[in-house]
Amino acid sequence: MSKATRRDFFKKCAAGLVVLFAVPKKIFGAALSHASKSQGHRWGMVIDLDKCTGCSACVVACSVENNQMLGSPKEAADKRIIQWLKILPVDQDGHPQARQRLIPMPCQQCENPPCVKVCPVYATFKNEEGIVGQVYSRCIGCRYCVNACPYTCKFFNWKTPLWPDEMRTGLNPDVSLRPKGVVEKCLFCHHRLQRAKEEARAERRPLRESDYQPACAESCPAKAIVFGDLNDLEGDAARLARSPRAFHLLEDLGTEPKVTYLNEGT
Amino acid sequence: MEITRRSLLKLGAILGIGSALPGCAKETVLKPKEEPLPPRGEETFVSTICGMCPAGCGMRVRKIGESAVGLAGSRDHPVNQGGLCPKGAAALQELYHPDRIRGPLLRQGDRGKGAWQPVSWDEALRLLADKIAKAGFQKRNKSFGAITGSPTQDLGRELLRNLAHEVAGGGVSVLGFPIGDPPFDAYGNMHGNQNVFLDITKSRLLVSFSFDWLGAHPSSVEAQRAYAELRRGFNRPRAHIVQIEPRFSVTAAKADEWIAIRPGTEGFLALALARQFIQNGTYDKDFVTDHTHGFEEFKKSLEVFSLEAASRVTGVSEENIRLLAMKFFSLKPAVAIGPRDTPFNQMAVYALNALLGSIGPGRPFLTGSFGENILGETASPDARNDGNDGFEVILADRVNPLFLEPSKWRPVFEKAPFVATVSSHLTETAQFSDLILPCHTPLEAWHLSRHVSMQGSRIINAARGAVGPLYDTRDAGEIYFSLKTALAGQKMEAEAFPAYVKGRFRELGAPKLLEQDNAETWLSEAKTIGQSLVFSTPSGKFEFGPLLKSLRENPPTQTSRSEDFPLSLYLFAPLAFSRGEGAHLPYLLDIACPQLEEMWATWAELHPDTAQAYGISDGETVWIESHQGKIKVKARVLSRATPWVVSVPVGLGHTAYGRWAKGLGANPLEIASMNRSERVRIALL
Amino acid sequence: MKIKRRWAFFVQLSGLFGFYLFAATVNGWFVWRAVVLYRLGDAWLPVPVFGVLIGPLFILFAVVLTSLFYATNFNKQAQPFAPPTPALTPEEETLIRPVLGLPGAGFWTLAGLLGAIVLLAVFAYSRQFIQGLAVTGLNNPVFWGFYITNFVFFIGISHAGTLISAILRIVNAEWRRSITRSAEVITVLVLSFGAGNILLDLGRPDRMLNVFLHGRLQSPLLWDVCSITTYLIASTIYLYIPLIPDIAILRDRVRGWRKLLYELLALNWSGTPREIKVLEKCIAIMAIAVIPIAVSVHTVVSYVFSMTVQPMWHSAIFGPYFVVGAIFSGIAALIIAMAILRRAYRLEAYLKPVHFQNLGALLLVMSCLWFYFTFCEYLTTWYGNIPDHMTIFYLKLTGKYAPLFWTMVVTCFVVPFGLLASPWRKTVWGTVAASVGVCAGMWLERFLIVVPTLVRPRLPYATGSYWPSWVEISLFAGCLAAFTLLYALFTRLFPIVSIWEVREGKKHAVAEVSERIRGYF
Repeated sequence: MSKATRRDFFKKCAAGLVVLFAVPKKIFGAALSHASKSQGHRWGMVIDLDKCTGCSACVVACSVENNQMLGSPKEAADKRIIQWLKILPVDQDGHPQARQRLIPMPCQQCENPPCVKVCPVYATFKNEEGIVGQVYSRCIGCRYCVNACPYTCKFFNWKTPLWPDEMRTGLNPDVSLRPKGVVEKCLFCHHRLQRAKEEARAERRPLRESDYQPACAESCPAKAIVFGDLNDLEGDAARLARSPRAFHLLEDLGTEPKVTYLNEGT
Repeated sequence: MEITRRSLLKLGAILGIGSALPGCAKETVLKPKEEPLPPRGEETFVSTICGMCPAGCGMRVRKIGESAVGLAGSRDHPVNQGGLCPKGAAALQELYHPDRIRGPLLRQGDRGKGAWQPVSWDEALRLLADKIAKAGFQKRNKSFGAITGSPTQDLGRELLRNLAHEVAGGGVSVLGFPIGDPPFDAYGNMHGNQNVFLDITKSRLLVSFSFDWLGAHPSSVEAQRAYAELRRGFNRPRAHIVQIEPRFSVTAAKADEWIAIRPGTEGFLALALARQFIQNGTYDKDFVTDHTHGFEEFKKSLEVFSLEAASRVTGVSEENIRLLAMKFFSLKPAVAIGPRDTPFNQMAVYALNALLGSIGPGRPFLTGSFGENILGETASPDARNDGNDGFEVILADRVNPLFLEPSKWRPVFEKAPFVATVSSHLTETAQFSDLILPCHTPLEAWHLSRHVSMQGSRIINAARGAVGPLYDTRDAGEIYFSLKTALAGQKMEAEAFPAYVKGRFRELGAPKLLEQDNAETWLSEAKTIGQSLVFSTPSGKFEFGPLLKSLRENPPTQTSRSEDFPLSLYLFAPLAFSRGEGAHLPYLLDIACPQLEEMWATWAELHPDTAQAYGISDGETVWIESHQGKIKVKARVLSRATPWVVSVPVGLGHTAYGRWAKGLGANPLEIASMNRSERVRIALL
Repeated sequence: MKIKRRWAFFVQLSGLFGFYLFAATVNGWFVWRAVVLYRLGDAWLPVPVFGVLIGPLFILFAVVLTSLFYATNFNKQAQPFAPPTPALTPEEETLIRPVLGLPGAGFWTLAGLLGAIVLLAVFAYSRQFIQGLAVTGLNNPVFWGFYITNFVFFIGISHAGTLISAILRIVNAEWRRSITRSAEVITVLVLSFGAGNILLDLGRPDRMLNVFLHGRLQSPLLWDVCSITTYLIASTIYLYIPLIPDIAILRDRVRGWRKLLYELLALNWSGTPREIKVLEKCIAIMAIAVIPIAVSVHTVVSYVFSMTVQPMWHSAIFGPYFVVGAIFSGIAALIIAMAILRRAYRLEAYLKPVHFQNLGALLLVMSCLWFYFTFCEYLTTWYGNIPDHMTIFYLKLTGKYAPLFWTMVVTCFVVPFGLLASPWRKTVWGTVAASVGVCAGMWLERFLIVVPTLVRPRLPYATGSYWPSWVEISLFAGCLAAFTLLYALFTRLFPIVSIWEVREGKKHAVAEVSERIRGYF
């Protein structure tokens, strides 16, 4: 190769690199850790602790909707029962000055999910609408994401969940049964979103906020759980998330969870 | 080197393709490759009534083909307005429970041994009809024991009442659930009837005397809704909630103030408060003058209930009692509520409402008639059956007395020559029976019932079952209907029962509810209750008399301290096991105690001082023993527990009732009763 | 003149081409993942960073192997005639007696016992594979336990070999000559068990290839995969290359099936000066290459923990801390192995007290260094007094795990320091005793890093608990047994002390070293 052509070649490469880095970052894809905040939906939830009574209807509704494993006394004692949405008791003991809050805690669907950062195989990821998803068929069960989650909102299938035949008819067909050895977590009833989108598409109309409600929000008797599109600034969820009573769990870790809580009291 | 057009185009093409790729590439990697279950048919939605408890919430069931695969509350139903309670949410597990009884069973071998012979419905009904006929109730002094669980005004119980009346001219015993029932004895004694309805949301101050209303209210969904309304109701002042209870329950956790009290002394505290009201003159003089009878005597009897005495007996400080009395004065409307405790406690607490003027139209306590009360007055749990030699035939309708009140009912059942149970699961009572007639689960059954919502509106719920019967079971109402037909010597037509149901629907004004699957399942009745003050007492007014009588007969002294049994046992019902049911459903076992994250176990809450006195640490297994027996539970040591009180939940400890409930936990009702406090002792295993 | 090639040549050549293919695949994999991640819009930068570091390393390995193969098989006529291999002295005979002679009763008993433990472990794993991880003691919130502890522990011990032998070679420490091979074998074997423990821990081991098919190089676990694979390949090559002359000796001595094996592995070595020169150059290159790889291995293992936000995991000191701990436990393991070999094969002439003394000195230094890092870590945590961190801190120092923690401090610092700073260091037993304590203590240290943080998560507030089940204990025992068994098998196939290096040391070292020292002054 003559000197001239080699130089040309390197020049072309350099030019290419310059163009590559001069073009806006977005074309090359911002890292999946930042959602497109302006376009599309960004699903979030607001839980009003002043209305919530800790009745756990949401917990049972979630388990029924998502074909959750049936427990056993041994699994309860071994702390292996899975509840995607659990009630977290926060205690300040004393007698009779005791105080306790009962906080429903689903997956916080963080904007900067620590679990997504550490997954080796893309089994957990954040999609464009902000929901942190879980792919059971790709998960290798290393449990790194479970250990990385500061809220301990992810769970592991220690064995294949057993279902008596009689109960199989009652399983929700929209939600797959998880095999053993994979991680699972709350997905904001993503299957309902898919269904709502299909229906909207079939009826040729945009998706309405009321079309898509996860099972927990739907079942709450006190209407403490409000779910909606945080990008719709006038919608209920976004409005409540801006309330002066609003706070997030473990706010200082910078995970930016999309589950907002409203403090008790006026 | 020049940048030629060609090289630019090449570069552009590469970049362009590169940037267009994200979309389709993302699809393959980021799209969840779920493996949904195979499709099984067409999807439909059916409106029905939940039926898992007497509250009568509306429910929308999602079906694929003939299977129910999902549920949600009906958005517009006046009782629940789209919400569900945990039991309702678990209704699918009830329907598809693997240990349901699938056909009528006849006992083989000894009672309770669990050997059954399947029989056909004809045989079973004929056998029972024979037994009833041969007993000759009209002639002999024997009773027909029709027992049911709750005073719901529904089709099944209506037919059971008709049967009982036909057979023996008698009524139906209602077991009730004292921890969660309203103070029927107070209502009955002081109003003369039990038709009193409380609209919690009308209160500005809600003081509960050991009524864990967020957990044990008979209409759970309404209770949670009421709480939300009290806290964040639109256009109303925020309510102040005080919980007086031996245990730091969920209601206490959500209340503004928790006052720990010795179990069983609520009445004493109430009367001390009453004395404060009267001394300070802070009571509704108009109501007392116009609508009560016996007030002067009542006032005199309160002499003993000084602050000092109350503090000594109840363990609540004088300061707290005084402050509470002040709260009652400054926050109106004020309401004092309690469960179906001892009659004295019930009446003492309820009497406060008379003094506070919280009874009447526009006030929290609404009176009125609800039309005919199918089941009559709900007898006190203490009442013995009316002096007969016992029951000749017992027919237990969807109730489990051998679990809920074993000491009272086991001798009765053992003496009864024939016991039949109508139940969808093999409960302890069913296990003990001679004949089991399996009924539909709520999702399969007809629903026709009357309710009064918390706001006082009368509702008729009417719906058909959401799914067809899975097994060879029958609607409970149909069973009683068939029995009545058989006893009358008539032949039972296949369509007779549905025709009867449709007839009742029409009579109650709800014919079109039968026509569509998606129809509303409820009707409002034109009248709401509470428009006027209704008393059925001889004086036609609110009666203090029975309370005084109770005071004279059983003067409440300090609860005797027993050397043998130094601790007080406090029983409570977690929401998961409300009305003592629910332990057979795994999802309910998962939520047994949200406050402690306890699941699938019976636990006892102890104060650290108490625990230390016995050398017990958190998590250890202990024996709790009363003079009736002992049970083994897991000790939880909490500094928010009350010293020298042991709190144990009711609901677990079944010896039957399906694979998940059987052998799990311990049943404190074996060693104590729900409506009075028991003394116990505790020891390490 | 056409040279008649023996069969071994063709097998070796195909092996070499196989390695080329492997190196190309590795490089190709990085390129492919970079493209895929870029197309996904995910952060693709880690991939070229890793690729640029690791890809060329494999090319380097390929070059090293090629040059060696070329030197031993081509242009041999151009080389001066190789003198015949001098016969082994009686002393050196002891070194190949284990290889040539039949194993005695002691060996068979040991092999039988270890084999039984390995079979138990296989059975235990079969239970786990069929039933899932429910057979372990793991639960919510303690999702990692024995397996990850063992993973870190074994990878730590792997630093023994390569690092010690590489560093000692580079600084021309002559006393390394008889211990380098035993160290290198430890590395190669224990690394496989380290990586194996990760596979034991997976909920879906049948999907382990997903790590390559869908690998995300943002995840520290992928860094582990890259680093450990590279280290394994590098250590194997680094073990193999100095082994070649000894294999040649054996090739000339044995008969039967083993002659075929040795012929295959000896790469047609004839000991000419040119071959020796190329060999020494290759060893030098590998020694230099292996050190950064080894450091990176335990650093990325520590990153698995420190890249999360969990209290007492998210610590800046973890990288160097783990490397120091690894070298520490590696030296201890090496001392124990050497002591056993010395006793079992009567190698007192080669594994002398001076070796134990020198290694003991290194162990003492590492012990102090380990203690320094531990002290920094805990002082910083305590001084910062952040509540979440302090919960874990007290759990370890005064709470449930206090007995384990203080045992660790005693066995990792107090006892080794006491033994090694005293005249006990001069004895073999002193250093071995210290080493046994260190190995146990370092295992505890790994356990105390993994489990207490998980036992007490930020949310929920309830404290968890963890007890290993029989499956986890069996698999741990099985790994140790299998490692020992394989190590023993190696000593039966190859001399555990490097014959040619010791010989070279005896011949040339004294002169070289005197020359060097004279140069200082």
